[in-house]
Amino acid sequence: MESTPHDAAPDDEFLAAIIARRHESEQAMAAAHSPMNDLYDRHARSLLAFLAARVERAYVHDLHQDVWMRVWRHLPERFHGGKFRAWLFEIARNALIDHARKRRAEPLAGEETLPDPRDDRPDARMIEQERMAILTRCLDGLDAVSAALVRARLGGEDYASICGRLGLKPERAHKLFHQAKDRLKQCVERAQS
Amino acid sequence: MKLYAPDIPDDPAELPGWLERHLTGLDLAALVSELEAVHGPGPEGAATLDRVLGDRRGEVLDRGLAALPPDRLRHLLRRPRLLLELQDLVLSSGGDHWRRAGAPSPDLDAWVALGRMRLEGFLADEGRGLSRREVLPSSRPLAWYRRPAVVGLATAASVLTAVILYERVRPRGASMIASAPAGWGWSNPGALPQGLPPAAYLDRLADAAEAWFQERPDDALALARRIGEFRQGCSVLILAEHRALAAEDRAWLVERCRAWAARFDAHLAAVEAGRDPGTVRAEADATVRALIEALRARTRDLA
Repeated sequence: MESTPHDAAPDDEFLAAIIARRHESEQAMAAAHSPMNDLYDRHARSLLAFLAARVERAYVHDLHQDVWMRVWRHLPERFHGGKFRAWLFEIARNALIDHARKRRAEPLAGEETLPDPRDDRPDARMIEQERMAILTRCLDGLDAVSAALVRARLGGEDYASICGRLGLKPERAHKLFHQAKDRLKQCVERAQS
Repeated sequence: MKLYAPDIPDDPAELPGWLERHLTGLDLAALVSELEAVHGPGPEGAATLDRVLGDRRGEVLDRGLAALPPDRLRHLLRRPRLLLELQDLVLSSGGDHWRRAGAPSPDLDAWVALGRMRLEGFLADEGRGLSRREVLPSSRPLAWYRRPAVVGLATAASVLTAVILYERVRPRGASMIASAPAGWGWSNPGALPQGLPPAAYLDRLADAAEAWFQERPDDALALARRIGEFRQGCSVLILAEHRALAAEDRAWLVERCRAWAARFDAHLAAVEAGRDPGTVRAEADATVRALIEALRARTRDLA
């Protein structure tokens, strides 16, 4: 077990080692709680951001809890040193795979004919289909110059390059882009109402 | 539906920070989908993340996206799915820079707080020795969500979630609802009767679910509240003992309730996302009809 400097916060691997020894005694079990909370405090935000990009929001919270339960359950026999954070995210990836498999394997009794509000394909969960469809339609409603300007700006191209390419003056390009932004936002709101 | 991509900063120097806030926040999926709507998925054989990062991979992990030249940042925007791979990399392997890169987020704070409460409840049960059998290698631990401290905390967490969600949708100036939702549907004290045969018990649950149709909310706030109240009824079913049922039927009911609860979470998310309340209510109506039918069908099987 790695020792730590007297006045430095213990690293993740030190905390994980304490948790891994929790079966040795009741005192060891009690001593494992604080390190577990510390690891949670250090990594929960990152883990939630990771999960939120890959599943519907309705599932994020339960999946997040599932990951920490797996950490607690499997740390003693499956964490063999190395970086705890990398191991934590490996657990999260496996939990996502299990979640996707479970969703595909569980048609609900008497509810198969319902249009499911959540798409079943993992990549479609990541890429929000409805958002894409609405925005695509709204982009198609822009005039050619505005559409080209939006594509260029959202591709990271700077105004100097865009103006040179499209033959626009900088002030005009700025104004057109911000007008296009407003039209897109209004179009999206109308599509949803 | 809020758009994120059009808020790309005008100043190229601000682009790395803007992307980093999305990589560490809750809306990366939305940004990726918007960028893909603009640029498409990209041609076959497009560059991989390794090729885009190239010799700057270590610097990106240590110092963030400011280490990438502008042309490579542009490549990430035009191949937006690479942003998901990049997020995985920097969150799992990035240095302290990435821990500090996130913008303030009340939603993320609420989720972190709720998760911590549940974890503490679970660990408290561990400390009281309620899962001593987990200490023995051959024993199966009691499912965490059935432990008494977690049952109580889960109910409190549901109320807290309902309050937090209500706070997000309530109009300014409205008084905060601090009390638990009204007891109707499965939250009604008489909804889970004791001493009935299994078929009659499930039939009563179906009857209780019919209460959904007794109020027809028209606006987003009222609908969100109604959905939240019904959803809390799902928690009641998930956490109840259902002594009238055999183990197999109990397991079936809990599994279905978790699935129905997830549907109601999705309906609530739809209301909050600004979708038409009438449309969402119709979708929720269909969910309730389907679950009532599932309960009645199980009743017929048991009769």
